[in-house]
Amino acid sequence: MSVLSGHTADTADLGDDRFSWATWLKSHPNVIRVASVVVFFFAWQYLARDSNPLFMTYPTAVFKAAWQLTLDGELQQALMESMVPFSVGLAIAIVGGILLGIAIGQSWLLEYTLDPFINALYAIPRVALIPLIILWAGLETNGKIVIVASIAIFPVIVNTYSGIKDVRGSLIEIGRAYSASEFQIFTKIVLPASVPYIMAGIRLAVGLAIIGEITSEFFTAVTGLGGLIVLFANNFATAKVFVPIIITGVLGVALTESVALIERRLSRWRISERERF
Amino acid sequence: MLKVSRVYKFFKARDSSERGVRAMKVLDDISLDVGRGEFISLLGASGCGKTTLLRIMAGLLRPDRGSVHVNEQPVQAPRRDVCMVFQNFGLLPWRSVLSNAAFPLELDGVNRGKRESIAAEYLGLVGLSGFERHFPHELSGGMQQRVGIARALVRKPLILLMDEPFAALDAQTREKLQEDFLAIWNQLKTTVVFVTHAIDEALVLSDRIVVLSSRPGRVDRVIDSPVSQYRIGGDVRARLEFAEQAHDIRELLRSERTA
Repeated sequence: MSVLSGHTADTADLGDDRFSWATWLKSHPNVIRVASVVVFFFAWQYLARDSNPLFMTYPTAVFKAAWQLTLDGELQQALMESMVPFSVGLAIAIVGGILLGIAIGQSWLLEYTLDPFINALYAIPRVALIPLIILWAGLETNGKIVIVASIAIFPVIVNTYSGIKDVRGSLIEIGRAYSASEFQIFTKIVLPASVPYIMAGIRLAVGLAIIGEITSEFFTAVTGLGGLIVLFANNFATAKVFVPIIITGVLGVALTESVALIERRLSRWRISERERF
Repeated sequence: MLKVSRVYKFFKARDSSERGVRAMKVLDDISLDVGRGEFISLLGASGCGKTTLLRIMAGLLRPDRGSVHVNEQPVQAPRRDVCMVFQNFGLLPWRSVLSNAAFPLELDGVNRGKRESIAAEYLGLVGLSGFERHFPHELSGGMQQRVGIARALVRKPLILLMDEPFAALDAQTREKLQEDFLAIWNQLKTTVVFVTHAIDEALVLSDRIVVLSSRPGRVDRVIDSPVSQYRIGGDVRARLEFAEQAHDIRELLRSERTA
């Protein structure tokens, strides 16, 4: 046996054990994400520090503005004015969307009765309805709630409906073969099988609800984070404009990610099923 | 016990010559008597209507003529004491193994503690103790079908209807499951109607084999398995009678295919 070769039939060379940065980074994507954001802020600071404050601003100025707005209490107030109608509107959209989606998914009569309206409302850019909604429901919290709910409800309806329609006949046959009642088939087979779809609908609804909230505040231009954006932009307070924009972005990412987390947890069976077949 | 009397079933099929639909005969005058504790196989090529016949026995389909009786009662809808094992296992993927096995009892309104202890008992019987908290996608096909069998047994059924339950498995797993299932059947003595297209599977498992002809499905011959008394704990495939009978059935199915 050769001493130099060191390989026998029982051992296999499984590749280098040497540390590789590329492999390590690939398996730690958050490191790159954080680094990318940090570099972005440094570059922004460096490039924009001498610009005209009417047109451009830079991170430390935005931070200072945020601090000032917090001390004044203006920011907290706007956040409340936005978050209350946002949460209520989103909750209405989720509950109402699931119930409507179930209703049209279960009853052909309701489906054919309602789907012209749902399709028409889906096709019209919902922003086009905002002036009308404001006319009917007012500029304040109620109006915002209606706008948020009416924009965010559609993906929930459509996804719940598709989830219910997509349940495989073979799953329902299991229920029938074991003498399940129609109600049991619905609650124990159809509904749980639709959960991944419904969660995806909710995730989309969160994004749309944020758009609805800010847009409605643009129209009313009095309250909330959207109201602050319009106010500061009209006064050319560019550093301040960025504060509500960044807060909205952070909120959006945080909310969407938390829904995505729940979604992944509830849909684990579906993902591994997909990988299998 | 289970009595199938003069059952006919037609399906709608598109006519090739004319525009429109015509009735295609799928089952042609099927009569069958299954005794208590008997293991009977329905053997035939794919498309011979054996699964349709099983679904009629299960009450999932209504025959167009004729009737099915269980213990002298006509079958109109699925019965709680006639349980089904599916070809593709038919587990609910979002439920754990234990909750899948307990599913029929859950439908019956049995409380959680009781149904889970019964389910765990039958999971033990099929050799799945320790897998109660797993999910179907974490199990191999053979293990998934073991869950399917446990689920069918939790109601202590009078009759077990099995629709090609081992057809989706690889050969080794299939033989292992046949052997284990025979041992379970020998212990419980449940009446079994087993649909299969595999001659050796029918011979290894059953007391009687009902050979169905194709299009329309018709009872071609009913064969008493020559090896049924040796099937528990022995390798019946090694016996001469097994080979002879398998040969006869193969010839029978072949002649009928060319006809």
